[in-house]
Amino acid sequence: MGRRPGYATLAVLRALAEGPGYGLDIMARTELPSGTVYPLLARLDRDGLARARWEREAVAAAEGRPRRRYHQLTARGRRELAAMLREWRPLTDPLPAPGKARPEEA
Amino acid sequence: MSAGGRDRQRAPRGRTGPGVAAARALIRLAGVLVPGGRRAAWRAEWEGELWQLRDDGRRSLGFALGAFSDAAGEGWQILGRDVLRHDLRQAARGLVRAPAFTVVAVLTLALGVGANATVLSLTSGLLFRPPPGIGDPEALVQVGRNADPTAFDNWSVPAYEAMAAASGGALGGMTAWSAAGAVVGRGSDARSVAAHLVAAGYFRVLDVRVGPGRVPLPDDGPVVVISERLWRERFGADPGVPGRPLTVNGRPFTIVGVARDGFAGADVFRAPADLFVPLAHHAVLRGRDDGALQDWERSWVWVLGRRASGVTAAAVRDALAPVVARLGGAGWLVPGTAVQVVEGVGVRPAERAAVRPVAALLLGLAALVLAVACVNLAGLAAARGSARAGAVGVRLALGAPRGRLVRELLVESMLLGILAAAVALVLAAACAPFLDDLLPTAVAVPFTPDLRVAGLTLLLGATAGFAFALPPALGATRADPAGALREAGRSATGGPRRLRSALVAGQVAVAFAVVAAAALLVRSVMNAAAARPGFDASGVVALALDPSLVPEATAGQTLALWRAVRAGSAAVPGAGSVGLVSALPVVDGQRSRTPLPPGGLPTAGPPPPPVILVEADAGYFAALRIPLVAGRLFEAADEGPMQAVAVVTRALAERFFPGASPLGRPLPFAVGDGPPPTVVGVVEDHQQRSLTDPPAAAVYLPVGSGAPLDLVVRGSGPPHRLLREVAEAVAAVRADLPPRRAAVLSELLARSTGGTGVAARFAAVFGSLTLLLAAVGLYGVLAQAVAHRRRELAIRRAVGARAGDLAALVARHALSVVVPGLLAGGLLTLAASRAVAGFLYDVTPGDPTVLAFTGLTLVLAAALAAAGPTRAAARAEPAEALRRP
Repeated sequence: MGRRPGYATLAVLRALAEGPGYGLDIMARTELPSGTVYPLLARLDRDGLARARWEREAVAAAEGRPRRRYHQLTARGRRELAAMLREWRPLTDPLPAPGKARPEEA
Repeated sequence: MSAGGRDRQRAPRGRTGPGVAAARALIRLAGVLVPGGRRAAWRAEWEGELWQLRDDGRRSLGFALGAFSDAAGEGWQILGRDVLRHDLRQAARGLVRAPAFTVVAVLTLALGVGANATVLSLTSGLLFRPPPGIGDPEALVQVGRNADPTAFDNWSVPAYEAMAAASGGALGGMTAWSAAGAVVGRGSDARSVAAHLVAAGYFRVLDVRVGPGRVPLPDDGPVVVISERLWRERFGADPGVPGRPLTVNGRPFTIVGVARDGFAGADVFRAPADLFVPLAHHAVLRGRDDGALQDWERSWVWVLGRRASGVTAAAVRDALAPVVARLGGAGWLVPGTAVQVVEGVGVRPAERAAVRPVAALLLGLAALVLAVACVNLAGLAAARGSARAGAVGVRLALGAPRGRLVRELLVESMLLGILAAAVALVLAAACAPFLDDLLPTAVAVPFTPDLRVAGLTLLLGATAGFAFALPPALGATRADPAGALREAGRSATGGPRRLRSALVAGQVAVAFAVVAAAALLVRSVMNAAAARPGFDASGVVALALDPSLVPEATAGQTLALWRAVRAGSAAVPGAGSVGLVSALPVVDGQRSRTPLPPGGLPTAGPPPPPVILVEADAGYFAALRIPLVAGRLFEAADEGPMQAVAVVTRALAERFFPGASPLGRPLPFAVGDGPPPTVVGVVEDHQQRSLTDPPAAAVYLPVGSGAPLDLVVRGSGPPHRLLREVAEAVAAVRADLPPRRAAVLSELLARSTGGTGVAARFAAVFGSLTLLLAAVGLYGVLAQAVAHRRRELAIRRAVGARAGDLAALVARHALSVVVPGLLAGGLLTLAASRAVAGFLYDVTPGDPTVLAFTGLTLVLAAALAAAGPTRAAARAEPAEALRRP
């Protein structure tokens, strides 16, 4: 991966770990906006952490809706997720207090 | 729903609201960014899922907005790689392979963009950039005093202290400062510098870094903080400077610290300060205690504050208003005084109002220069495009995708623009040190382009490249490959060339407008310099001297000093009348003051209208040839601190003594501590505040109060030699009294034309630039036409046309461009005249002389530009027709 993955990547990977899903589905599971989820799914696909597959025409036709594109975690994706979960620690440190002391002046 | 599966799949179109329709349109639009190969699948996925949201218009819209970042990401995957790895290299190679085109195109555009970068730097420095060295300047406020809403005046020290004591909650700190002249060093080493007297907390409130050394403390003796500039120039940046003695105005001070980061005071429109002296030591600096720190009637300090976090300027005003109202009620301030608080530091409201129209005019003129440069760029790109048409045709014929070519050309155009912007920034940085000299007042800010200006300039350059270099280059890819091959090197189609001629006509029009603006402004400056403003400045020199800068400056001794200086100057060969005055008319903008009624403190009611108070001697009126109307001028016996008599202007006499002679009567208001002086003479009205304000009511008082004065000398010889000799005569009297300003009065007046002068100087440069660019543009279009018509010209020659006929063909082409251009330019000038009207002095925008001069200049430039192509046409050889296919 080109850059350090952030919280959104982790969230999408976890959502995919629950099972294959299409974009809107992943949005619902992660509560992330479309502008975040879709580029992430595309990136996971390029990096080989997830794989996208169009559902069969017959299934969509039977349900009377357009075809869905399902995203599924690959074995590499699973390993990456496990590694990330080990790395992430809850952020509990309080913020450092702002401000600096100034010397007194005439 | 009875429709079959397939129909239902398409059904969403039918039963959706406007939100969903808009969302679908957004997704289709975003899809354009996705590379062609993946676009269909990308749209299918997004549109498919949008279908599920078909009942919720708002969610659909939010969902569709996300499609843009996804599409941009997809597009960047391909574009980013290809643009960086391939196109950029290809574009750079293309530019290097055509060095003549690249150099001329970059320079042409750089001139246009550079004009803008320079004006942007100037505007940014004067209006948008705080003076250097101040920390978090956005949180600072200026606190002004006004009796009428347009004023923004300074305060007395006691009034400032009363406000500072009451400002606790709203302000994190309040401070004050005042400018003063000073001389550092002694004897022949003495140098005149600008000093600021600063109140307690000055460096803390402004958040100025001081070091080496420290800020002044309350227990310090006479100490001074020096500027970084003085530290480097006089002390070689020695870190051991704190603690060293420094002679200021002949008196011993101790350096406590060095103000860093280029800090030179909190005021943009003032010479950079080199010394910062605590207000508490002002008596040491001046050599006498005139009680200014306790005097409620002397308003002389500017007040600044730092807002507490979350407090607005209006809240600061509300916090200070009760104090000011109380002081007004108690008679300590002029009744009706209100407090005014403005955000930011360095530029006062009146200065901002004065600079803004000048900046707008200059930006407008610079934009016109850029427009003219862009047309030339388009012409160059078109010529290069047709020269490359063959190569492009070959690539297209071999199956290169047109999109690829377009992208290469796009990158090349932007690269050209960015190169030009880089050159423009170098030009602007090189011009920066000279901008000071173009302004009527000294300024304390640098004009080197800052990051904001650099960003804008790059954007301007890239946009110009994109908008003007790309379309003509694209035109070359549109031709059908076979045609391009066949036609390569032969005549171009008429369409683009007609457009080109029209564009050059536009250039001529714009050049006309810019040159006309320049001519009008320069004419105004000349008119102002030649005006007889009620006094005669020709042959007069002026030297500003401050007697408080020498050690033994008591009133009696200053008068002796003035008399010695006067006598010394009068002995200079060629010197005529010699006089003294506390403020030069127009140049120093003789300020008006509100006179106090007899009895001292103001009573209730509206404040009396202001009058101008000036100290002068009899020699001043003689030197400036201001005629005496009645009574007498001052005599030697009048001079001194008493100021018991006064000379008034005719306007004042008519205002305060209507229908009666004022001679022998006291003024109806006090001008100092004593009783109102008696009027002994009346002089003719003359310009005082500026060359355009009507003459104001003024009171002249005898010299001798100890105030700094200008020595004015009228002489018969060349004024610069007179100036040198008078300066030598003054130095012979007191070597440690270097003049703060020594200049020829008429030159000072020419600089005092304010915005008009600045605008005129810039417009003159911009006018020359546009003239040059338009001439180059005309030359380009004619030369290209002649080159294209070589064969035709040769055939004409072969069938009997004379050389003169061929030259006439080109000349007619030139006229067909220039004449409509001139007409349009004249109309444009009249239409845009409102933009310059406010700056004009004694000339109207439609002035026939100026328009004729402008037209003649352009015709001359056009003739020069057409000369080469005309001669080339006349030289066409009949044999050429045979040689060229």
